[in-house]
Amino acid sequence: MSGFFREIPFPDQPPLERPEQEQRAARDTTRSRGLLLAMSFGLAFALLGWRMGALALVPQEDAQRTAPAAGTPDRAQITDRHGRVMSSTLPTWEVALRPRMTAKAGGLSPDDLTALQGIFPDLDRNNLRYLINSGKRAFTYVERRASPRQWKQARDLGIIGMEAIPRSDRVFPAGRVAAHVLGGVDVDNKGISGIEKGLQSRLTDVRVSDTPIALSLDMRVQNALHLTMSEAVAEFAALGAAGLVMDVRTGEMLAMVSLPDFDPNERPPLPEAGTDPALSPLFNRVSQGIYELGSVFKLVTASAALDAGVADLDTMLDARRPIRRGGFTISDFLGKGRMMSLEEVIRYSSNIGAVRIADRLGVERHKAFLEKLGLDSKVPLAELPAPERSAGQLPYKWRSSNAATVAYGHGLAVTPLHIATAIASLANYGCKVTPTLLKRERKPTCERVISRETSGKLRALMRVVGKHSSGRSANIAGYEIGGKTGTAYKIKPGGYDFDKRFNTFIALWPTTEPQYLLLLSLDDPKLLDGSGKLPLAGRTAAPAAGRAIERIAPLLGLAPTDRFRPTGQFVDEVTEGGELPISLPPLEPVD
Amino acid sequence: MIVLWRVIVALGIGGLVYSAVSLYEAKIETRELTRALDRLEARQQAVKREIAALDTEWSYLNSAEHLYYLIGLHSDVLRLQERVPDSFARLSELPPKGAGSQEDQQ
Repeated sequence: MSGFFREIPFPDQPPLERPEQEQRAARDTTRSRGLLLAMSFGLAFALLGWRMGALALVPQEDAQRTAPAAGTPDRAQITDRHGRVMSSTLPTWEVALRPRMTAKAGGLSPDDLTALQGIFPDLDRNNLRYLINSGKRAFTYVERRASPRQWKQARDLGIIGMEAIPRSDRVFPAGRVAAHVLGGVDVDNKGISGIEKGLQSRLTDVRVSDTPIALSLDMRVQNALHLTMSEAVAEFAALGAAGLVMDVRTGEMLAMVSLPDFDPNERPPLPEAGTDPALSPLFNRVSQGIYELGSVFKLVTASAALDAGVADLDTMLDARRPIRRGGFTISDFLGKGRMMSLEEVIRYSSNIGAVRIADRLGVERHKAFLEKLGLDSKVPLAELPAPERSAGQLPYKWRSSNAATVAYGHGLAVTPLHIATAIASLANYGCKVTPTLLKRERKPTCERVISRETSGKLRALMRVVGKHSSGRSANIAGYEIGGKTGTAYKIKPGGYDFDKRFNTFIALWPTTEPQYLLLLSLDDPKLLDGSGKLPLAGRTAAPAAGRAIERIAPLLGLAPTDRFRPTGQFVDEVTEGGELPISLPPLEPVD
Repeated sequence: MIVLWRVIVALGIGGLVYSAVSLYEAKIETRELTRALDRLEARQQAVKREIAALDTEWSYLNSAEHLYYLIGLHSDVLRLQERVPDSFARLSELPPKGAGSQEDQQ
């Protein structure tokens, strides 16, 4: 057997053993291949270990984490400065019907239709029955904003072809009170006006959609102003009204109301083509409407002259007779027909005196002062969309006649917010005020527009009007109300309509240490008390402003100074930086 | 030497298999935890939505229009008045605690 396995070499074959060199080469090749394989494994192990270590030790940013999870609110809430919800997104359903599918299943019984109408009161049952019977439509909405409860009730009816699409809707729990500030959204929840449009990107930023936006508004103040203005519009049969309350120290808007208004939950349609958009409830009279505001501008003219040093409070001005400029005669409504000090010009609201002040100031300085106050620019309320912020209209050419009419608030048109911001800047110790609708955490730094001394003089002038003159009906005891009335004729094609007025009262309190400013304008008010008197601002806007201050000042935590000053006495001459520059002797009252 | 080499290779293969199994387990566990986290986040969002709805409802109930309606309904009982400047008083001006008006005492 052993011989069977014995190797029998073929005589002609070469020897089987390879030469030693070849064997060495083969061993080297094998070893190098093995080494390469080992290195590959080693590298694979190293990569695997590195990856495992990375997975275990380093927190990985999962791509899914950055995307909003299902159910994340797609718009942030809007609250007032105290956290009261003003605008919020709630889950709703779009309930729809596939009429052809319903028809195939036998249609809707009268009981089904009655039940559906009970759930959705606005449902047009005849139209729905027609759509099902005709088979003209494959799809129709039953209700675009159904509550979860409504959808559950509808679903329980078991109607074939009925379905619902989940969505979210914007709701405004305060209703119409702050309609123009908040604005509204379209069916896709995209902002179309107001804050909802102005802050669209911030409201829809998924990184901060959980954090509400706190507005500067105080809903208590907003309610009080809205109520008072609504009462005033009814009392004086006005076409509309504009009003605001501003903290002059920070520029925060505590309230902003435009009437007529609308319910943002049931937004009215856009005004039809050919109609005056300014009469639409959607129109914001505070920041959008531009008006000639009349005598409130005398405060601006006086401040410019006082700050330029061309006049002082006791500077005597010739108001003895009307003056002619550019073919027009400028006269006083209730002229005194005598020389007047600058203080008296404001106290008695003399147009002639205001023109004399403007003459001393000069056209260039006058124009530059108005521009410094931003009256030629768009309303600086950045939170509102651009179309809702109008620019002031100063005269195109500044001739002496233009400067004369501008001195008493005619021949230029601005928004109520423009003049409120300008007066706030002048009264705030001369530091420029930039209005905002967002809550500010700190007081802005002072950018001076007039000197502190001039600001004191202006506040003294306002206090004179508020205590002794046309603003005295707004003089709520203990709050040191200062103010100025403005009665302007409305413009009609070809000139002024002398039967229609735009009345404004601008109030500041306390004048010794200014904190709050209120502006209230009434569009075409009438006196319906049978007195036959003219509906001037002192008889319409000023008393309405007084009622507003009476409601608002206590809400802001301001106690009346006459009862709570340490001396127990009302002292309206004392101010933070010294004394108001003039005493306030009672003179004969004027309207 | 060869034996040692084979041991190393065997250990390497064993380690590789162990690592693969561990990695798979870690992946599965991570996926489960991620799902649990998603569920928690979804729950959190649902709760936030409920809170937002309650806040909104509370805001509606406290809206001026609604409050005036309620005041009108219960004016004879509540006799509420607006806060006005005369509402402020010094502590010394307040009546003693428990002392109501004659009508209240009746």
